[in-house]
Amino acid sequence: MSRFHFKTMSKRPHTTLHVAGTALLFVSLMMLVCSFVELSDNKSIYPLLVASIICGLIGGLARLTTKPGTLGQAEIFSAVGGAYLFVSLFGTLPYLFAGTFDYGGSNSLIEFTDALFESISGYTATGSTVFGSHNPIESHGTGILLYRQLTQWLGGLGIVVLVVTVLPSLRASGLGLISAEAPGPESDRLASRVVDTAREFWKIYFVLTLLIGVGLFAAGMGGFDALAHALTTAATGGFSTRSASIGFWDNPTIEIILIIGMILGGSSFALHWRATKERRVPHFKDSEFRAYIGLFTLAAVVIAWILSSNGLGFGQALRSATFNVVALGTSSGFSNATGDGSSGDFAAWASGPQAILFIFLIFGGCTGSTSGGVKIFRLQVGALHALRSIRKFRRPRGIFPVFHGSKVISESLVQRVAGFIAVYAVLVISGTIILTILDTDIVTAASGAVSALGNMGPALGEAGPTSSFADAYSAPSRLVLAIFMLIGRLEIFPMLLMVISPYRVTKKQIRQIRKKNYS
Amino acid sequence: MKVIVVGAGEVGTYVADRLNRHHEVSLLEKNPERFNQIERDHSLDVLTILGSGTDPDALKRAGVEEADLLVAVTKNDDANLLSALLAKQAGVKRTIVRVESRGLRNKEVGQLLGSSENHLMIDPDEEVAQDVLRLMEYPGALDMIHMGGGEVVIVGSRLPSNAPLVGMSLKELGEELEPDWDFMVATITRQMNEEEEVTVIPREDETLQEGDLLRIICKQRALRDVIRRLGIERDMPARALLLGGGRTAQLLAESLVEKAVDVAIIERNTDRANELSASLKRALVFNGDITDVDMLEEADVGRQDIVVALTGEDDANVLACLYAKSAGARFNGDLENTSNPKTIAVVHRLKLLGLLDTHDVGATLSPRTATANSVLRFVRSGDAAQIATFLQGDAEILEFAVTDESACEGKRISDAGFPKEALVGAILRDGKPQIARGSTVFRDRDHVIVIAKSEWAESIGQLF
Repeated sequence: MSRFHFKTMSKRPHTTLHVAGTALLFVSLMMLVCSFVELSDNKSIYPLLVASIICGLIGGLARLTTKPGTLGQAEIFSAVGGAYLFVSLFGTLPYLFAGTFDYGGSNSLIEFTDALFESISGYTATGSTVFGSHNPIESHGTGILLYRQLTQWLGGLGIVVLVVTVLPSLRASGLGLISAEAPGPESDRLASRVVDTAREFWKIYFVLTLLIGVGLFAAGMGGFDALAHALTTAATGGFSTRSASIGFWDNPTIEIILIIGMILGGSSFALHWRATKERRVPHFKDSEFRAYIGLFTLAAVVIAWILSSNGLGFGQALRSATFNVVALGTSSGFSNATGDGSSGDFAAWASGPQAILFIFLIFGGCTGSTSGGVKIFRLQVGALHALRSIRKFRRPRGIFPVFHGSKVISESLVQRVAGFIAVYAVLVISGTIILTILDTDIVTAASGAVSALGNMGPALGEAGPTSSFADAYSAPSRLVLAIFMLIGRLEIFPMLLMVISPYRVTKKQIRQIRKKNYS
Repeated sequence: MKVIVVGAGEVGTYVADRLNRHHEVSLLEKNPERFNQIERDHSLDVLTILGSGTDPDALKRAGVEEADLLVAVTKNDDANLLSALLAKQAGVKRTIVRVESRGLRNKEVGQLLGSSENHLMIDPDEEVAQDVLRLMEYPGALDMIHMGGGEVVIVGSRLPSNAPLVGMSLKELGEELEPDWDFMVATITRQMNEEEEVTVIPREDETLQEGDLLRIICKQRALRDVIRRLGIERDMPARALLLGGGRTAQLLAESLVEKAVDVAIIERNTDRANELSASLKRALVFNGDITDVDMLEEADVGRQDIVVALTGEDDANVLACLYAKSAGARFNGDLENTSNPKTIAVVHRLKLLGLLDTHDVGATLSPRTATANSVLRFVRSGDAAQIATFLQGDAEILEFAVTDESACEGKRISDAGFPKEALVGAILRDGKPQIARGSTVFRDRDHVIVIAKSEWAESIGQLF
């Protein structure tokens, strides 16, 4: 009895450390696998192996010495935010040990910034990269490249969802964690237990990845490339093992498979789950999915029409338009550009299509998916809320509920969505201003901020699909973008609250100290 | 027949009162306050018992062992069903249960209560909603009752000055309709002086006057012609405003929305208004008081085609309807303009009806009569398949079936021995309706629709 007592006492209740430690253990396992892949390339296995051991030790220590404590809203946000910070930070180790970003003309501070940028871009499934012509992706070992793809795969569905699958002790609070990481219209509880819900999500994710991989392999990609791209397609991440991204293959079949993969990754996993359980396709009954497909189709056709009227063949125009609308709209960020100024290089398109793409950078995919952005659901709710505000002017006592499909969206959710959109706008504007002041032109700055916040990948202007973020933005700007990616991945509020809550706690402590001094 | 009525609410007391004219009725009420109120009310002459319908002892005190029928009409679905089941167990053959929840109106629950001839589920709100809907189609009609499976319609309307029927004698009318009458005037209710209105079954020499309240019995296919002769137009409204968002309003709004009518509802209770707006996607819901003029203006009251007041407060209903009329007059510039909104008010206190029978408030109807009609219809089934009562006047409509054992079989109507204050209105022969004439002969399997003062119902029943 006393021994049991001692044992429980020794574990401090600290949810953040516990969740982050567990997440690090997964990362450690992932690095370990990649280190052996490095062998096939005759590269050193040590960078990944050492990184794996460090992550394993720290993660293990954090997990073993703590236990999940009470989970209020503040703890949930702190745990989810903490997990991403930990993982992103320790995720830089393989890059640093392997000297991935140690090329001519860079100093150690810039090297760290680049490693952090790439790590965050990976774990948030963004897909912006600092690789470029000065430091081509292909020059690095397959182990490091696989690790880079895997960071996106892990971050795509969510590290915390993965953590919850092994933490049954969280019980129902796990749902809070999941929805802080990827909020849906309502808490999408698929199974009766939250642990099972998280496992169902990962099962679907795994199968989706597998299907895309098989498809890509059949379409003519090499085995490794097929696996690597399947990982980042399901995650709607966008990392590629080639400098030219999908443009390297210039193969319409591969592009069609990717388009389908990205659309599935960008739609609600709860719908996919229902499809597997009910053996029918519930997607087209869902208002959000219908709007999602409708908007994409409309944008692809309009852009193709504009491009073809500017002299491109309609087939080629439709191919480029569809691929890029889907790649940006689902926040994947693959590119099918075969070179600067080619039909797939949207940074070289006319302003009209670029403006449409910019809108899609903001939109993002569906709620409950791996994609980023504002999300179609929020846009629908936001638009209906705006419309009814106008109607309310004429009929102040009228009640105009916001409908989504045939369901009514509760007022508190409408308020949260409106708040989200407002905060999102503030962040985009302030991000644009900061980036413009730091060095970039306004198009590159604004699209970069939107792209980072929505975890898209490429932006417009200087940061188009054929350019590297290392060329488009200075190191301080890249740091700002990396922070935006983290904020955006967790749908803004958890990260902001992580910053705000400690500040309020400190303020309270200061007040108490002052009180003591006065009395 | 011995009847137990459970629940002395609005519906319960009215049904008890109506049934008490021919049957032995005991009324169960569990709320002591309400019980005392009924005891003090001398207009209701029934045996009232304090107790719950779900309590077997209370049922026993009400005489459940000898009862033939139990009518459970409390506001509580579950309690009503339980009383009916208890009654069935105690040997009561027939039950009528008020059930509001749609979830409970299904075969499974029905089977618990027994075969469909012996039990009936009623929903007063639904009945009122149906009545309002019928009136909306004919906004000038005061009431409209379908009989004989819908083949025969009884229309009540007050004659406006421009009606083609005004100034015609029934003899002239009859000659015009020869040889095969499509309709006949069943009763005339006429203002004799300031206070008194008299309902008569008219004779040939009667001349129709402006302001007469007529009940016309007609074939379904002649309804259009009758409506024209009565000087009331037929028009499904395009915009309707419902005042009060109770269950009746919700049911009504659902049907109207289905018919592509633009529906707006004003409901005072915020929670209820939110609930309504969520369940009625295509209706516009306001949260406000229906006696608040600003509220009514915001809802465009003057531009509506029809305004229906369905709150539980008679005075609010009437006031709002009056305001709707005047707002329409302001909008259209003329009180007599035909595009002014028509109004329908639900009135609970029957004694108020006399005040309302003006051209200002259009049709009025009462939830009690709507429910009572279906209860009475069920009670009389067997000897009379359907029955209806009117808000005004004490005439009843009865439907009888002729068999080869009926006393009147093979006789002419004029020789069958009907009392003077009864009128054979229509006969359904082989499913086809015909308006009865004195020379018509009753045949086996005829269905006969009779209009009579209620005290004659029993003796007429003996003829069949």
